[in-house]
Amino acid sequence: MAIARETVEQVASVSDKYKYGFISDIEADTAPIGLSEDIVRFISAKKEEPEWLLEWRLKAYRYWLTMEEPEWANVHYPKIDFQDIYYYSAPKQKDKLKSLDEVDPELLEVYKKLGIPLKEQEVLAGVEGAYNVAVDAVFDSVSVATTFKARLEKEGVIFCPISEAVRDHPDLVKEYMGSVVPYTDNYYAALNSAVFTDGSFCYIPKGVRCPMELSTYFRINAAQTGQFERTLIIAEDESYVSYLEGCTAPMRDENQLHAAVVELIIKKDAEIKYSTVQNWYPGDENGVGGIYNFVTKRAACRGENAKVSWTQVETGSAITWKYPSCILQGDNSVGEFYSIAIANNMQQADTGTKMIHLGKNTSSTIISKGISAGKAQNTYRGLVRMGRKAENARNHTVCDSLLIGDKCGAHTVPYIENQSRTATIEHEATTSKVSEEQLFYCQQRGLSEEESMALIVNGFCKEVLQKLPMEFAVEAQKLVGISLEGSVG
Amino acid sequence: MKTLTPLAQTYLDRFDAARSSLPGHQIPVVAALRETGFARFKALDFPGRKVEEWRFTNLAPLTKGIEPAAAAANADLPAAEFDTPHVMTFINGRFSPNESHLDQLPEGIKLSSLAAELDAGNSVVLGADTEENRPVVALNTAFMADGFVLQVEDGVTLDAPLLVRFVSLPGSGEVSHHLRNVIRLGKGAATTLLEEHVGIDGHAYFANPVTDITLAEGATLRHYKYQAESDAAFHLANTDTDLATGATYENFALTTGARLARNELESRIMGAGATSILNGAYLIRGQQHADTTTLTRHLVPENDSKQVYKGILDGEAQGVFQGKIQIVPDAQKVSGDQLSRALLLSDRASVSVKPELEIHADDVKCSHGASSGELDEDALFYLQSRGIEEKAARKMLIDAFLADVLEEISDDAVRTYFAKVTARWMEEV
Repeated sequence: MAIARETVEQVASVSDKYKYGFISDIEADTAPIGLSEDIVRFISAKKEEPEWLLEWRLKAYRYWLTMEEPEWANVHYPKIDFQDIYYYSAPKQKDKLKSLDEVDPELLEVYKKLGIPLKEQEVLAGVEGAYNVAVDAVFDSVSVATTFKARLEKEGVIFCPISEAVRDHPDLVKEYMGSVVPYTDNYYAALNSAVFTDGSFCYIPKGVRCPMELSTYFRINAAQTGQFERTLIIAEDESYVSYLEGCTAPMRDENQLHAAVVELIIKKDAEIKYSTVQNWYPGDENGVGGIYNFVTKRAACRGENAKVSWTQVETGSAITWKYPSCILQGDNSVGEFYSIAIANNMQQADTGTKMIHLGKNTSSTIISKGISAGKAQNTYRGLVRMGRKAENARNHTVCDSLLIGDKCGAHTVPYIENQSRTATIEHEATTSKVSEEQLFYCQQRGLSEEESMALIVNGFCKEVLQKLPMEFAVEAQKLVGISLEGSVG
Repeated sequence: MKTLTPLAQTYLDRFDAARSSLPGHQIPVVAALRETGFARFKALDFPGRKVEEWRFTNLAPLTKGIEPAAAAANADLPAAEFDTPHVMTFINGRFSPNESHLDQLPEGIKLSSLAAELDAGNSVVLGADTEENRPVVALNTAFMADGFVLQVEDGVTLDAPLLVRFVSLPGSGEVSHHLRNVIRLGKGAATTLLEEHVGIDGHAYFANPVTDITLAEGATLRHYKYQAESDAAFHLANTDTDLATGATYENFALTTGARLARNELESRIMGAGATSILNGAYLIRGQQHADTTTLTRHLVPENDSKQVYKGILDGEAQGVFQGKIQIVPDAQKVSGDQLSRALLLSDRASVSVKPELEIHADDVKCSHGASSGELDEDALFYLQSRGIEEKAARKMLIDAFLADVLEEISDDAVRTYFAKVTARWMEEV
């Protein structure tokens, strides 16, 4: 009867809508609303930052003031009032924490509800089924807890909130922050550089294979608050790390802004695997509320044989604007991008990647699966560039779009620039709908229409789902079903 | 007010004289059309690279102004290689009756010059102004001086292809030609047309042809273009085609000429059962830049489009292909396919490709493919291992690469002619 039980669970979870939409009543310490140099100074002071970082923030802020909001993406929304956002909100903290046990139990409760364990005991005690993952939990503007720090420290791995890294490892932060995504990069990167509040910092020393998966869980809770986090991961020669990122937010009628910057630095023979399940609140079926997700993610493969792999499952957010990219500088370096983007109801997604090939024998793979349902618009936008010196570089791109319903749109906008004779670029894209025959077949075998759709879509996404770490893959598969709820029938 | 590019400024200075002397100036609708085009061009100027549609093609060498070169002094009219009884010739943008043979055209087919039509007060051929934001088309609307007007009555089919030659010769002092061509095919009419754009190497000029095509129900137009402008020339062409129910448009553009060329095509499919086929090959070398930009718009349900473009690039040549397939809401049961392939023969050549899909209906089948690279080393090795010299083996593989798309040309005479032209180009690789 295992199958029957599984079906029941599947149906239960499918009918579960957005289950992370609750609001937690946690007392917060908030900056005055709006944005100005004073706010930038306020954030910097709150974080007890050194002078150089404040200067950097101010430079970014002044540069941001000269920039114009980008309009090239295929997304439409009312102009954002940057003065109507709280740029800093942190849960009130009684005293400095000495260990995890001192974390506000209310916060722990929130994360328990989200399914993210902030406890080490279970794993240490060898409880079966416990996550063997170190978690950094970011709540609104600050990191509230990081697990397994001691275990990681033994290997020399640094995993901590970025504000702590600024304090404890200023040289590393100073050297690498902004080196992949400078504050001049784009509008939202400049804004983030000015007002970023927290995020994760990982440093994997030479020759170390990180003993567990590292994970950051982002939660927006406070109303009218923007979340601006910054993640920096450095993989030294011959090291390896798998990093997971998850995010949720309460259901609110207003739109909230999330503008993050993620920088990855991969040295010789090192590898970073970066997986995201993005499940910000997408707004309701009429397009009211939801997160504006404007994110800059970029990896620099600086050494020979460096490898980076981005895997993303984008199911949430009212608007997604995100292009995780790879700069393949080192000879033989490898970049991968596996993406599932699901847009339902009034969601708009404009996402893709950039593969910039500079070194010899560099190779990249792009697999993008876009699914549009309801009245959603889903755009793949990507760039593959082969530089003059990218001898024998290779790229293979597949972007497939699936349309469910006749009111949605699927768009593909790839840019391919080749300056290298010996480079090989292959790009293919298809757009189609779920065939009646497939649906009929599944239903004839006793599945409901909705289950059939979830099954077919999961099959369509399989190539990408397989790239996710196990725990994430299970969650992602369920998410695919939930996100498409209401798109058939 | 923003500063205009130097070339745009010269057009501003010339328009006063032009508006009262160009053909059709006595006809109010034509005069109004020119004024609209001029106002639009003045507001837009030539596009810079910040304009998304032009990010890969830099017009700066053109817009800083054209210096008429002194080269190629003894320029006779190059003889036509394509053999057909119906030939119409334009020299430096003006109809040249002496070099044309139009007396054998059958009943129901009229091929005339736009200037003659406008002089006779016939402005209907021009149609309405639907231009929105293409400055190169707006410039043409303001300055159009001549072009061919092809009108085919319902049910009439033409036996042999029409050849229209646009020849640019040095010595006239005029360095820009704004040709406006009009093609109107009646219900069930069928015609084959070959356009040839020829220049004398070393001669710098700016060719700016705009072709406006309307195909009525069930009409078939096979429209071929051989662009072999001078190696110092600029060629910015636009062809817009409206397809009614059951109409078929087949376009093939062979590009070997010009220093900087852009061939822009827009197919608007407005009827069920219509088919738009846009194919082409560009063979460029040296400092040449060739851009092909297409837009296929499926505006109603149940129709098809296909595109195949192949490029061979040598020297420091730059190739560009931008192709967009658009399917509007409710245009169900549409299929749209597109393929773009480029072969780089040298280390300094480059290619930029942007195949785009914009789809707002679910019951459709769309695909695009793009590839770029050098000759397949394995295939080359295989042929050499069979005793074929490297040079011959390379030629064989390039031939095969091109043959694919040349085979799509449905007119035998044109296909044979284009194969000859491409073979000649390849001998110089």
